[in-house]
Amino acid sequence: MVDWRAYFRHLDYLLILATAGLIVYGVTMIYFATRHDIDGAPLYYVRQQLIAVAMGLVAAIVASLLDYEIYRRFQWLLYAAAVLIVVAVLPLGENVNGATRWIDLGFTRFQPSAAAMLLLALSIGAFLADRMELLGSKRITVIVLVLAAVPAFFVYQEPDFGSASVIMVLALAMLFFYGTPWTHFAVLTATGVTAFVVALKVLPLAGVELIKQYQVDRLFVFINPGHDSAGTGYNVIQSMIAVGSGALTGRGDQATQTTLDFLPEHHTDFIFAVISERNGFVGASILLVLYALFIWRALRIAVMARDMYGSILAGGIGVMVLFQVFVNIGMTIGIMPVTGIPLPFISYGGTAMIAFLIFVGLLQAIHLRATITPESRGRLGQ
Amino acid sequence: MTCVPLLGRDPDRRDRPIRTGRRDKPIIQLPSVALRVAVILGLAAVLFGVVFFRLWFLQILSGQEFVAQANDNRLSSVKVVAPRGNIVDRKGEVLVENRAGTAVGIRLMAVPQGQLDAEIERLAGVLKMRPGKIRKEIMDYLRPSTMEQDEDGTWTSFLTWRKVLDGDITGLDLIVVKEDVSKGVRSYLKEHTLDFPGVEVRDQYLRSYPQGDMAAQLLGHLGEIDADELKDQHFKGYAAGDVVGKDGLEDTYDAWLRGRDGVARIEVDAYGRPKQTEPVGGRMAEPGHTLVTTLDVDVQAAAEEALRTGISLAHKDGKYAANGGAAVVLDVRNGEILGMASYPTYDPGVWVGGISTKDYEQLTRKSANNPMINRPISETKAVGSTFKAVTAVAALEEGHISSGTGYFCPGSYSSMYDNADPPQKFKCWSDGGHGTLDLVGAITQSCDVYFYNVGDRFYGRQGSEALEDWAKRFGMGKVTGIDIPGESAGRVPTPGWKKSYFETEIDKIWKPGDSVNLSVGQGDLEASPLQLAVSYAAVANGGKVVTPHLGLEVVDAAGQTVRTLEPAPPRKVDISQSTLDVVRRGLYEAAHNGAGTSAAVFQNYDVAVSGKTGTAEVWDDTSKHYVDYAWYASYAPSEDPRYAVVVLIEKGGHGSTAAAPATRLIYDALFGIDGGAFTGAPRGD
Repeated sequence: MVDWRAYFRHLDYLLILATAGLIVYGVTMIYFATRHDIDGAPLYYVRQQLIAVAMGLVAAIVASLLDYEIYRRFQWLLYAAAVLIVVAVLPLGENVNGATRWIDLGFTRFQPSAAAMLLLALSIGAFLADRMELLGSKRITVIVLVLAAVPAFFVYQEPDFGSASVIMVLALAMLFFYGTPWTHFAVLTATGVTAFVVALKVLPLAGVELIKQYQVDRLFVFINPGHDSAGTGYNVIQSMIAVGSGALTGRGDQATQTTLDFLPEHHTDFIFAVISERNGFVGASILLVLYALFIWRALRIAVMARDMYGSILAGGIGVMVLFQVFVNIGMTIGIMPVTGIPLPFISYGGTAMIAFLIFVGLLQAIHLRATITPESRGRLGQ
Repeated sequence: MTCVPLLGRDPDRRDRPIRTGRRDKPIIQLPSVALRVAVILGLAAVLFGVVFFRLWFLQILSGQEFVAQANDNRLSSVKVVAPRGNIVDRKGEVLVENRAGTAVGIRLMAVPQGQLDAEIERLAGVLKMRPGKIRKEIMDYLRPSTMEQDEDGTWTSFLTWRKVLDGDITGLDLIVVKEDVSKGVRSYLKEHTLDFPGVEVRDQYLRSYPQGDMAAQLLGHLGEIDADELKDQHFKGYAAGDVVGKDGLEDTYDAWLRGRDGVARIEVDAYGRPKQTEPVGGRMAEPGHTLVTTLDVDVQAAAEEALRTGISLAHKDGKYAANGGAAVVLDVRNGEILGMASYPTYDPGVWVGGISTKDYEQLTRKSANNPMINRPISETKAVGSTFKAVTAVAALEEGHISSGTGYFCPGSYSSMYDNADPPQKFKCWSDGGHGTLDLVGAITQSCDVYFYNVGDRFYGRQGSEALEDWAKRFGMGKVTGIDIPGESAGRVPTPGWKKSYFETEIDKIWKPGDSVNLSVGQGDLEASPLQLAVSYAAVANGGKVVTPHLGLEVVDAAGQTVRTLEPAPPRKVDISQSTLDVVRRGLYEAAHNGAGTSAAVFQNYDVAVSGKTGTAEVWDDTSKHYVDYAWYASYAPSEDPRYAVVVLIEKGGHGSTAAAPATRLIYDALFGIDGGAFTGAPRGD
């Protein structure tokens, strides 16, 4: 039934190379970051991550074989599922360090917000692709933002500000590739800035405090981490020390910031600091090149796609990865706020790994269907 | 058309025709995905560029700085406490030394959230202390760093136990919750580290007292420096958390004893836990020097035993409830203290590792009678007839009497200046009277009437405070300057003092009775045993008022003298040789003449002792009447004096029955005499 020769001939191998490189790099670094964490089980986290990679690979292959067209039919089902799981985590999830982000499935932990990103990409992308004739309508922009804001709100309640912001960025990116007029983005930007200033500066003057000053301080601690060197600032300072001390070629096994636990969350949010300390500027640059390759391929697939659904989906995935990479790395090098966004394909976390591998499968599906027929190939020239 | 290569529907399916149905816009142009992708690619290039240059700055331009910071992170400077120096007696016998001990502490950061209270409960069980005490230790440690200044400038702490439990207030430091735990506890905690996350045991030096409770009040103890001491000039350069000497020799000579703490650079993790025990650098601790004291353990032991004997002698006839005492042994030539005993005493070991509440309560309750007080320097009382030596010197030097002046003692006396009717009657201790005596005889027999007459002569010279001045010249009324804290100045009553001290007009007046009383060491005069010893030493050495001291020299580990401790030079009091001869004669006769008050004790003694008994009437607040305090002040050998010895037995009755025999035990030790049991009929006073 499946023409495997055609399948293998039309896969995007550079995308596979970027993905494989990132995963191998990531799992290796998880090993170095966590080998001393659990006495007698240096491979615990590596094994967990490899299981997720295996499951993700199977899912990715299935996703690449399926025509992504079918998701259009189930778009509302997919959307409902996304909202359901992020709502369900609030009462069902387990509380870890004051946050409820995971549901314990017994054999593993499931992170609904990571799965929701995948479901929302498929459903909102389909919603937009079905409404090309309404392109330019303000209503579409508003509806899509509301569709994204509902699950994002619940994710924010976990609380997981990072994942909530990724969902909103994903929605904006898909609106962008849908073709939403530039004026809409200008208005959105202006509204956002105004709301921020009002909430922060004007309302407090009027005696209303929507956002507490300490929350603002925490968000902007990266600008001057010394101000809060015992709290959030401590993590930023330790992370910058780790990155900086890596110098050109890294400290290898002398990476004391990692091995002596000065780096918080060393296998999840701050794994870039681990990589930079151990492998230096050279090692960090290799990682950046792999991401650049990945994003380039995703965006290229967006251009090639045989239909708007494919373009919106591929573009959204590309921008989402770009956003996560920049915010995560920016956080570890002191140029972005500490928001707790993981590094795609690298940070420890099974649900996210499976979701991102399915994203790769989807990209391959779009690529395959764009390149396999002469007609679709023609679209490249449009 | 190629075959269907993949699962799913028609691969050729394009987007639905873009027909809007609107007349103004029947067909819309598909947006140019390529343009939008180009925009995103441009944005991506900018963002990657920012990250790249930031990495360049951090890793290439500032890399070495961050390597230094990382090293600074991982290497923690740990204070290596220097072993404290020993305190030894003049022959090298150890009074205080160190022993290895174990302290238990807790590192809050390493205690998992929400487990602190339960862990403290379990730890309290192991350490056999109340959980509340552990919490208090932790709170006390954290409090200084949680002080906040209010608008009105007052400092208050925002520390609450809730905040500690919630992890809002935490710390990397090891907070010591109990010192000096047993070996059993140490090995238990070492074996169960996993059950007690954040709890660590640490080696420590602890004070040890090989002589038991000997000289407990002189040695002092150790403790963490407190806020007041940090401001004190004496502890300049010390840091919070330093252990310093409290009280006694540990306090005075702290700078010599403490040595210099070292620093070990050890690799620690983010929680401050050492990764390996071998330090990677630092500075060695320099052990403290040894303090050689003027004490002699044999003399000290004898002095302490003498007090116990004196007290039991006082108990003999059931009349006196003696329950305390003091003894001082002074080298009359230079003020070196060979022994200084205080009774009751206690085991200074109770302070080691922090005194327990139970011990402290036991030591401070009333029935314990203040064992921590160093009576020889801080208990000032009327000195009774022992003061007659001072009165005699004053009277001779001021020309009120000569050695040949005689007074008749009928057994009582009334001041010639007393205008009351009937005049106040002062009794001699001998009811029947002594008949006519000269000065030597009066000292010998301790005739009160003779000295009442002398006191009246001083009173007669209105406006003069000659007797008071002589008492002060002998060192009474102000501290002697001994090199341990806690000394009381005592009091020499003067007309000026009465005026300012008393409230009613009648009390403010200096009356004939004041001079009469003062001449026999009664009334408002108060002096410490040490002051009396210094006075007798001055009589013995020809007028040198020495500065008594306990510190002799400081020696290093190799036994080399680092510093000879020089006390303030003695103050010379001009006393004519003839005066000295007469008074010394009187003191000798008092211990040797058949009629002498302490002759029964010293008449046949191997060494010639000169000494004076005293029976001081001291107001007792508990029983609300006067009780007799037994004194004996002396020096020996009479012809070439070396030692002055003063003994006080509180509520001990007569000096001759309790204090003098006790003094003899001390001379036994000083001169190596096997005195045997004292026999002899004591006489009054």
